[in-house]
Amino acid sequence: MLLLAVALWRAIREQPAGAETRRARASALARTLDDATRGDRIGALDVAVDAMPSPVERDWLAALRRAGVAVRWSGAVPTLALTAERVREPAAPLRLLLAADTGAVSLSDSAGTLDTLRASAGGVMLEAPEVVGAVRARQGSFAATAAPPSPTDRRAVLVLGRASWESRFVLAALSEAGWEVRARLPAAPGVAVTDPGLLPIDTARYDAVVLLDSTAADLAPAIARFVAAGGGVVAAGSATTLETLRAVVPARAGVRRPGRILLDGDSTTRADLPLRPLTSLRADAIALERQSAGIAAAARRAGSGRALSVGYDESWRWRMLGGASGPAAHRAWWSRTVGLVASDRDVARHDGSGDAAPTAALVSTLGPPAPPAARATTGDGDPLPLALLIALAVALLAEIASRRFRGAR
Amino acid sequence: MSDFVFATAQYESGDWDSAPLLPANIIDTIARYTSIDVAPTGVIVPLSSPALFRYPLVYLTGHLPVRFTSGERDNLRAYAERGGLLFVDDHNHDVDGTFHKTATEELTRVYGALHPVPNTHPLYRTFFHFDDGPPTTSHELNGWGDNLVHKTLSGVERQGRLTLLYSNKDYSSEWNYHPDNKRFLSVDNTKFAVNLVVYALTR
Amino acid sequence: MTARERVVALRRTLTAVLLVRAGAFGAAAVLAGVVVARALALPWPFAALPALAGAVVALTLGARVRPARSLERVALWVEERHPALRYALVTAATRGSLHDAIERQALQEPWWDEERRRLVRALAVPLTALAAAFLLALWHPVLLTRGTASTRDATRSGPTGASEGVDPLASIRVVVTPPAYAGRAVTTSDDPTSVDALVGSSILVSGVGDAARVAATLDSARRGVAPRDGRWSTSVVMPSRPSLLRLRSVAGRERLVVLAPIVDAAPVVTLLLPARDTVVRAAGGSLLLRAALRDDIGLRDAAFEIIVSSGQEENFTYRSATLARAALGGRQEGGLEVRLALDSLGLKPGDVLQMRAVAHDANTVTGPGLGSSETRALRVARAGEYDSVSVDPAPPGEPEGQVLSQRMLVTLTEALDKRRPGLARRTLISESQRIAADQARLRKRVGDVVFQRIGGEPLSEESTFGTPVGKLTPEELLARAQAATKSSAGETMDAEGDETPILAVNKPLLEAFNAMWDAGRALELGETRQALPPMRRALAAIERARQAERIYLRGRPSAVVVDVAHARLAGKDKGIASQREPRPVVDLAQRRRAGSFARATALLARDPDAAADTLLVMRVGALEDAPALAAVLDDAARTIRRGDAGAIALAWTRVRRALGGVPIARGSLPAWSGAP
Repeated sequence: MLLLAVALWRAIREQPAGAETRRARASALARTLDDATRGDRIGALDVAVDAMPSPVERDWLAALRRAGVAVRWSGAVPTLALTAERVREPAAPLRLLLAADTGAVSLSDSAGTLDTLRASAGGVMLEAPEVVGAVRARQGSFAATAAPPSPTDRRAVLVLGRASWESRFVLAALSEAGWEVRARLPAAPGVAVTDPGLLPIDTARYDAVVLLDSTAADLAPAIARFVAAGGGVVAAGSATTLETLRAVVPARAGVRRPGRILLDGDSTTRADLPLRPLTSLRADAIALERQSAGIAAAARRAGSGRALSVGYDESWRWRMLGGASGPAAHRAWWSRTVGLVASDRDVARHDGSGDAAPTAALVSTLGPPAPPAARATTGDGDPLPLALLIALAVALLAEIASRRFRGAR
Repeated sequence: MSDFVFATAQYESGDWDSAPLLPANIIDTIARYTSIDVAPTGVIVPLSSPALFRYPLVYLTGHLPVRFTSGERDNLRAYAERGGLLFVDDHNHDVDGTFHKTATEELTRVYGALHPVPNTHPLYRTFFHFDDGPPTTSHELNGWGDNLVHKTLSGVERQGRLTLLYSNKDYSSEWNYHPDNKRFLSVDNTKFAVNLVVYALTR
Repeated sequence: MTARERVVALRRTLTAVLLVRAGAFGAAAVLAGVVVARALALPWPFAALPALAGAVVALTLGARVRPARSLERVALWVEERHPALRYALVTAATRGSLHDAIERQALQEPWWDEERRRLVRALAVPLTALAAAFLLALWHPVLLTRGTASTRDATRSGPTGASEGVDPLASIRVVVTPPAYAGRAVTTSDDPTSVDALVGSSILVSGVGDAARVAATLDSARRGVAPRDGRWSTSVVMPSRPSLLRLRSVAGRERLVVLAPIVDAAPVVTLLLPARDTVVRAAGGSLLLRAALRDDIGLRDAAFEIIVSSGQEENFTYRSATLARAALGGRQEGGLEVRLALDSLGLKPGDVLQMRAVAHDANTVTGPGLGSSETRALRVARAGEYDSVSVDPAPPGEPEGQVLSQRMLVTLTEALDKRRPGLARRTLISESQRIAADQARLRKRVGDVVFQRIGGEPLSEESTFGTPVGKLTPEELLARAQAATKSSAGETMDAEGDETPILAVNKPLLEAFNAMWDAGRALELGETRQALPPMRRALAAIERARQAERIYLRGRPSAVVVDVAHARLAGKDKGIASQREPRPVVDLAQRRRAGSFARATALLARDPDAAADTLLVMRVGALEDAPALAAVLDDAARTIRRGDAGAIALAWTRVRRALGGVPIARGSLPAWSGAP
């Protein structure tokens, strides 16, 4: 009876509004948020961020702040940001870009762990053929999640070059990598092996154009317009010196340097190919590959599109003389090279799932962290009602047991 | 470096060099009709040598029985997988002859079963048009060999393109003459070789 | 009966009733709890709770028996309901029949019948509860399922009636009988996810239950299911390509079994003797042939095959024969040997004997596999190859070119000689030396034809001979060349490597070579008139060389150099532009498999059996082109079926790695989006 009386008094006693400063941990925030929303006793909320609050919780805290509750947060929150993008190739493997502090970060998806990485220079990249569901990057009790975009079907690639082994094997590599390939291959003046309906060259029909030599000079103006509109161009050899494309390509191919002389049993790699080192690099061009003789590949943005210059000559030798792995390596390189300039068509998921940059979002929503506040006068929750309840239950059981035992005799 | 070098296969078991003038003749033909950058001389490449992979189109002929060594067989398999095209011609033009029997047996072991190449195949329209399929040679009915006109060539395709082309029509005899003697022919009988080379370079 | 006796009797009845009540309530609690746990598919700790609860109930109620053992308490219990006894019964029960009045009072009303009836009535509720629980268990079929089927299996069975009985697909047995030729034992396995067996093996799949309730399909072709020895069974023959056997019960349950064929490999045949190719002058005596044979299953027979080719250029004849055929009786290893009498073949010069060993295996299903060895060749050298230094003729292109050039040089020299009186000495010398240089180049070309070796350099003036060649008699020149090549008649010419020496000699060309030397010396001095006679002699000598026996380089045809620039686009006919046929877009199996794997992952949590089935379907496709992937898929499916939760994560990682390889990590972010 005494216990019941105490409980009743506490229930009917009135608290002044906003008098309470509540401390809570981010890992157990739900009840505190509920209390702060339903009543007006909590005037200040100190959140110790020991785990990343969910986007809902962050927004909730922001709403409480706007409603007049002083929300402060503190804690050592690691830098964590994750983005997932599709490689622009038919196979569309995933590329996960992670910005993180030093320390191990575990990447996983619905099917399990992908890898554990250590970021250096502020970031790390992981390429995975496919993931299941959303990707999570976890460092301790903090995590960022990203939903990978769905793969989209690529459009065709147009290959222009004279009838030669290089043309033939570039066509083969791109076809085998899953690209739809169309081509025009002159074999004699006025005689070309051509796909029907090649023109017009526009972004509705093509993702990229590959120019292997200067035989496509007549189409150069159309290609320049295509790139400006968002398409991509890969130019190799004499194609890099076409006048009309001078303003588009990032660099020009220079004088040919012979490849490495192979002995019996040697396999050709990309580094062994004849090379026309790229020269006259434009100021906004980025060198993507270097060999000992010079820059082998460079890229730049051109209008809404992308352009890439390739200095390798006779890359087909890599496929034929590259050992058992040559065909796959040659194919992967050409597919990736075209993908570097292909139009960007991926549709990112915007369904509200994912929390790609939680640290940034936390600071953006709630401002920078505050120094840890003094301990609140009423502490974390009121344990007295629970104690009262337990005491009541024990008392009731004891009474029942007492009656039973008395009655059994 | 030239785009195209005509390569003749040298194999251990037979007379691989039975048509020594054919390479020059075909090189001359390619130069006459196309702008393909072709090397002025052909090369001879052993089938078992890694150098085979420098020449994605290789020509093989002979009269004698063909028995590949294991090195030649392994090399040819890898050659086919990487995209090489082997053109084989029976210099005997005899389906009952040992070159045909042994060569087809060996090629089947490497490539799988040979199938007739239909006369509507793109090979016959790649540069010149051969509406009736492979052109007949003047040797098919010369009384030697099987004395038959073979209406089709045989081959093996991989991912939609020929990786082996086999002929019983004796193009080796038909094309085995000095290129300067073309001037004595009213019709150039080597034009089909242009189709073969252009097909190889564009498919 | 006395009052005490009646109380004792009542006590016995009371004790029995209390025990029965405790037991009945406890059993009812257990039964009801189990039914509820099974129906809700609770995991086993929760499913054990009903048993615990029933025990507690039984014990608690059974504890009431203890006080009922006291006569006094029993009597008081009766007194409570019969106040008229006024504690006489208690007195009589505890102290016996001390007083008749107490005894009479204790027995004045027949309380014992009433209490007995009451006690019996007290059994109604617990017995009713027990009966209800029992009926509930009878109604729910789960409790009647035999075997070790999991509760998940129960939920996948679909709605059933009370008469269904055993799940026919709960457990299956597979008996594999290999083809007779393989001589292998019959194997049996229970609940396999995959059956690996030789092509042509008979596969019998059976299970407990009614055959009418099971349907079987093999790659969408229906297979008959028949009763056999009290079980259902279906029989298939292992096909030559991976296939999927689907078993489906009328309750909706499905089981998949992958049929993975093992292909009988062809025999491996190694020709041990002869060890290498040979060239002989005369083929006589005997030649030992020896071969080693090996097969994965069993060999049927083996033999040596020989082909003899005779002829040259365009005329060849062939003979073939089979030697030493031997039956091998299904052995996995064997040998073959025969001595071949070369005399019996009648080999003539120029003939080529090719030898190899062949073996067949005993495969009677897909046909005997044929294995063959390397081929060895024995060539009989032609007459004349060893007796003269002259060799196969070379093509006549060079002399023809040289005739034209020498004729032009003669014409130029004659013209210069005519102008000589009007020319200054210096001009005469200069122009004469120009012609001398041309003459020297032509002389070098003639020398190349004369002294060429396979794969070697042509003659150089300062060269292999040690002293400048200059003017030599034909005999001196021949002796020098022969010494350099170190060849002599009579040696077996074994055509190995590039260094086989050949010497070509043609007397007229040697005369031209020497005459050009004389002419060159005169032209160097400006003596055009003295140069003309040797130049004309050289021209005549070359003319004779053209008509002489032609010279060919044995083993390597001479390279004709095409004048590509001259021939470029000189053809009369023009090509026709052609359409390129689009290649079919390659079906990226990787993407399909990645999609299937994603579906399997999504199913793993809620329907593990369906996830396992998805992996098995993927395995069928992977067996042909990705055997490593097929193996990990089978392992993962079996792990799921075992219910080994701890191993599933590792199996899943292995499948992911096999599907797409190890993810590639790079230690920094790229400067260009998408660049590696």
